Amino acid sequence: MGYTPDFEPVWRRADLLLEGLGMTFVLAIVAMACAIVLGLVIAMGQMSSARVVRRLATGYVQLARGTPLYVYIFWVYYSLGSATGILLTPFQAGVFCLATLYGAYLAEIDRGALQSIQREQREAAVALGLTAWQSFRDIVLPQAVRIAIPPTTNMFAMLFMDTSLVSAIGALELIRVARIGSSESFRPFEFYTVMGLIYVVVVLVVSALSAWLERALRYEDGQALQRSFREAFLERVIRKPFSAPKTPR
Amino acid sequence: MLEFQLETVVASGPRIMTALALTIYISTVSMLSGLAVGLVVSLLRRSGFQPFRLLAVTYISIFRGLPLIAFLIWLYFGVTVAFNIQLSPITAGIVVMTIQSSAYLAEIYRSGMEAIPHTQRQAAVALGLSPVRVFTDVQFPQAVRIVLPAIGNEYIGLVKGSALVSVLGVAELMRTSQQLVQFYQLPFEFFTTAAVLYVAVGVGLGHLFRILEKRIRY
Repeated sequence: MGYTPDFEPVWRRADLLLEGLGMTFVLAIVAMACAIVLGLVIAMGQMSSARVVRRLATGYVQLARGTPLYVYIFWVYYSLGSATGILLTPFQAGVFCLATLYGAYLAEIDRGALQSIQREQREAAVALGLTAWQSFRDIVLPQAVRIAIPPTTNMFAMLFMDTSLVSAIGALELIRVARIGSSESFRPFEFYTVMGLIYVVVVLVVSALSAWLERALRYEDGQALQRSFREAFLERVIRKPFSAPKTPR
Repeated sequence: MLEFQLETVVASGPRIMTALALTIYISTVSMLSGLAVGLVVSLLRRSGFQPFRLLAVTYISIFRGLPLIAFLIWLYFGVTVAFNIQLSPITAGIVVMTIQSSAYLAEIYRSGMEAIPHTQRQAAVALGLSPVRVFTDVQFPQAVRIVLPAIGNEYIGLVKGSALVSVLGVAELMRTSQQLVQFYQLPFEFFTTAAVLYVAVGVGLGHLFRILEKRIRY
């Protein structure tokens, strides 16, 4: 015992940590953008009228949900290169793995959102003379997007955490730079503590955002339950958790 | 076209199976202790004493927002050095996975309890049941059915997550596969085998939990 933490070396290498955090964000955002597109395509595939397409999409989702990301990253980075000759950088491999896996998770969200729009609405749209594409674009999609955005935001928080696994193949993201910093300064405790705190703070903010969006995007009697983000954040993170449970005792 | 060198994989079969057993052991121990710790956390979360609630909420927020690998590295390479603690890599892995799963399970328990209408509790009290029997005979049997799928998912998640314990040098399935890859220079064969085994365990557990769900349905 008797250890005195010294965070001075951490602040001195703040540039390194910020660089790693930036890389983590770029990885997460690029992967998320690809995953959103892929997720929508897979969701469409799952709802396709062609049985083969439906089977393929569903099989893909099941396979992706069963595969551990960590193993997948190694598999893509090391074995795909040696098997097919395609050489990916750690960044490319990371984006590919995160996007293909999260695409499957997002497909489930998108499918749920699209299917929750009742068929009557589409029938009404057709009755009003809208084409299939118009009714999808103007009636189904705007409502489905509202439903899908909060869980998608939550998925982003999960994806942000999972970028940490790309460190294993050498991408210079937050974990990697923290390891570099700690081996330079022999201050692993300090570096890893700051690293952990950064993750926790980002994830908390993103999930608070998701909770706010859930309220803000919900329509009730044709009126949005619009509230300020600050108010929602306070309720979600500060007030609500500590308020008494609703159950009468 | 490459050929899949199955003989080499089969020859390493015993080693891979031992590693798989360790993977299942680590995730099962973490799951069981996570179930217990998670229950304590969720009870604190429902407590009438504010500091307890504050503690539980902080615990849940922190450990749900910390990536498993960051937590492992922090504990094994950071905390142990700073406080001069002796911790075997397996113990460190189990401790980290227990804490993380307990944070998730505490939320799962809560969702299960909240899914049961208050009126049930009131009716049970009105019938003269003691608080303990209200819980064991009315709330618990219903909550179990509601949360069982989520618990199954958490278990599968732990099996997948246990691959990360390899960064501490525990010779579980992932680490062993990495060693075999290095030895034989056959990344495709061994990583594919590992992936297939993880998926197989996940599918198997999924089936097990579906059977369990059917069993306890009245």
